[in-house]
Amino acid sequence: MEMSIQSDFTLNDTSRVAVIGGGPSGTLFSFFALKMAKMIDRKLNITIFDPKAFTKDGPIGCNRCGGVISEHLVQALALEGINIPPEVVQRGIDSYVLHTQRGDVYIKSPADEKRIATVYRGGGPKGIKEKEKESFDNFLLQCAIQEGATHSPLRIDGIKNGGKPVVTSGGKDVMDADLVVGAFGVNSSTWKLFEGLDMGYKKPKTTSAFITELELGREVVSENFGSAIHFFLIPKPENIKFAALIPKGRYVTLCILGKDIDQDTVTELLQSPVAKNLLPDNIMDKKFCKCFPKLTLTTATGGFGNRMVVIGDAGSTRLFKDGIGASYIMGKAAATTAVFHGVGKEHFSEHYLPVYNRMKVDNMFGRFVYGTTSAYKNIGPLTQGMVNVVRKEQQKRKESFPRLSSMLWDTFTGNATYKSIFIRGTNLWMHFKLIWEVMKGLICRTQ
Amino acid sequence: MKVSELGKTYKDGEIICREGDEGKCMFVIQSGNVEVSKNLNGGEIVLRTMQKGEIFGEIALFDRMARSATVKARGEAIVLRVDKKGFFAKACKDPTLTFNILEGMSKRIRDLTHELSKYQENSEMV
Repeated sequence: MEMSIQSDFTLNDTSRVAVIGGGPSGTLFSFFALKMAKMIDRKLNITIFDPKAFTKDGPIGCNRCGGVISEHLVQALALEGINIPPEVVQRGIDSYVLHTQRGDVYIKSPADEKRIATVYRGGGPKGIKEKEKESFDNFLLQCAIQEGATHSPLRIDGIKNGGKPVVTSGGKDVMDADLVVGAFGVNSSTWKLFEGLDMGYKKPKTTSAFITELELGREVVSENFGSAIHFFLIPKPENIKFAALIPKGRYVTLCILGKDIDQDTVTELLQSPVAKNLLPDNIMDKKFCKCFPKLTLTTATGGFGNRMVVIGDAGSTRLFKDGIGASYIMGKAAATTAVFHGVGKEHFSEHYLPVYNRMKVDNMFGRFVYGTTSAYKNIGPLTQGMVNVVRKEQQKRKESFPRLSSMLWDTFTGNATYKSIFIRGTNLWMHFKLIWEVMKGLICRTQ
Repeated sequence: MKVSELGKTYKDGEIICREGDEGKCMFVIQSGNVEVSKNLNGGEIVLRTMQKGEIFGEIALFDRMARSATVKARGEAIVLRVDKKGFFAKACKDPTLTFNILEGMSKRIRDLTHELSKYQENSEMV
């Protein structure tokens, strides 16, 4: 039995792999699968199908994302031989500013180094005048092509699942594949192709977000934001979890995460005093490129079957943060399974599912971390305590370990797993300092 | 440093890591070149020059000994640091993260073997 599984589902020199989706999941899967195959003297034929033109500005080339490459991903990619060039990086980030109802607090990178990159996934906002930078997704696509992948602009609109799956476009058979990789996001309709198959795929639940690109000019962006991402941890509007202003070149990306985000939510946020301090008056009167993308909340079920695997946001991703980092982890896990073990359901179950589940479990810790953050965002005395502790930690960051700062840094940068943040959060000394600062704040207010 | 560059900029001749120091991190060159040298009998010999994309400082992470050589910028160089703890935590979950590092180390051992054989051949001739 084991022998037949091995021979049926092992990729060899004549194997063909169809990757549906040319975003980071698809390109990183292709990059690693090709690289690993070469290590064991195999030559795979991988085609990435995506009609999207990542070099084009506006929605046609955009993948609807804030465009932040986390510290851990920048480092991991560099170790893998993918160094993100300055031509792709809009701005290197070395700090975060948290804006709260009880003042602002500045958190510097523990490494004193620019290790976070802001990028455009596509060609930039619609109507961008001077196009000085390259698209991040196109950069990764070129990395995969250099490694030996082929890019096809065909839109795959069907999968026939027989012995070997056949992908179709416009009613015509395009490729009978030894493996079909669904590398798509929750904003695409590609999930429908997989829900119709017998692998039991059900797409994850989603929530809404809001993203807009505000053109402020290079000097204003540098002066007001520098190399820091600005986070809003404010109690109103009540339906937002958090919002961020992410500096790029001449633009700043405003990202709002929460429930039922609409134009009123955006207006209310931008009229808050903290937003007014950073942005010019009547900023939303101007017409900017904007969208209300879906954001993954849960993990998909039935994310793999024989010769089929779903990666990317429509499979398993990190809660609210570091979606591209999750693409790297899941894309690589799928590539490792396919090349070194096989493409059968049992292979994915044994080697891919544990990684998938690890992310699912970590997101449960993430819910707790964000729940706690929400409490600190909404309850004034808690906010004050947090701000005071972080300010003191930042003043003495060379002398002692800034525990709360590092937890906040890792929460908002996506630099560490939620589980590790949760474990660090159980430190009693940190809670003692927080309680002390909360009490001091309460006493000061009553006097 | 330009706004779109990642890592830390080192000026020409600036030391990035010093022979004998504890190895707490490794480095990936983002742009420019670095020079690897070693103190020998009071003098300094240059072992090699490394360029964009190459990784250095990993030996002290794996053998847990002091830095085996000094590395300094040759011209302006931008270098990204990768911390020991973070790297090993990631490598535990995904051992394939070390493939590229091993490839680089293998290449260097091969180059060293070649250099050594050339050196032995020359000394035999002398």
